Amino acid sequence: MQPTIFTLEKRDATQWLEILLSLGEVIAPVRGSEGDVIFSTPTGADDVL
Amino acid sequence: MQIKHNGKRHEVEPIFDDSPRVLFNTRSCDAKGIVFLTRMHEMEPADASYLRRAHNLTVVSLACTNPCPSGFCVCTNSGPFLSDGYDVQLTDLGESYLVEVGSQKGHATVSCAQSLFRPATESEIGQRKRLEAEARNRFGEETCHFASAMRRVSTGRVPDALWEKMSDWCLECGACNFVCPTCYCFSVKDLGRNGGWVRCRMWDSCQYTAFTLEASGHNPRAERKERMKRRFFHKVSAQYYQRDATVGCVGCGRCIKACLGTTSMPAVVGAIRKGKWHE
Repeated sequence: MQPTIFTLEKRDATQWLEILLSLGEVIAPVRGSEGDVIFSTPTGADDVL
Repeated sequence: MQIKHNGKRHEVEPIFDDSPRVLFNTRSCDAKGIVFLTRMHEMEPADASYLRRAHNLTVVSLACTNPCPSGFCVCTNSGPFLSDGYDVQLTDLGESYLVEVGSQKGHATVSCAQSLFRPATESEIGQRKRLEAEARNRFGEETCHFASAMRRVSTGRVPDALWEKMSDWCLECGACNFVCPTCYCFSVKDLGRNGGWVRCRMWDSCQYTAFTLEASGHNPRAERKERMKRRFFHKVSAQYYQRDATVGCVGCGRCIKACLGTTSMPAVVGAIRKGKWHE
């Protein structure tokens, strides 16, 4: 499928995330300053770690 | 699976996890790692437990505008930006994100909050292209040695002496396996629960001596060099390339950081290509 391209203002990103959280679990692995992966998730880091 | 005794006999039932999940801010290499794992688990016999979880997983990746120092994803077509393998790909444009929808699951993820999104402008799409070009340029000259290593590994032209030398620098810690987005070797354990048992797969390392130890005491890969040979055959051989149309590496570079010895993917691939190991 051809990608459809949108823009999301950063101030609206939290609202999007909250909507996603209401639909299921959201896991957010993020990369630290050294390039290592730090797992954090709004639903509880223990779920991942 | 769950195993219970009903007083007369044991009953075995599969356990499926159908919970919807979103993996948010996934880096490009990790998104490609999931594609690799899914492809592997789709092969016969297909792994229903994995595939049902994968089916309910939506991957929202974040393009790497500032690639990590040890990554080499340009060599494995796994980044820094993706052209496929994501449900949604975000690119940080400063005040906003460019949002590329790459699948029906991705479409559903955006549709649930449609009012927050607006069609991207040509200028924003142009900015994304510039950011990708800048990110790729930060890798310097793109020289990939996988093809050379693949030829040598696949045709048995890596001398045993070289495997032995390289394996002397492996401490068998398993770190390379446990940080690798494409490793999936596992062992099986039965855990007691609610008067029965749950049979679980536990992530394991093919670099551990006991990984292939058989109940008879025989171990087909008792020597470290044999285990290392197997790992890199699995990662870079043409046989696996023919099957999966990709190498078993997404160029994340984590094995470089995690290795307590010096046997990371680039180090071993480089040694195979040159036919010699650094001392």
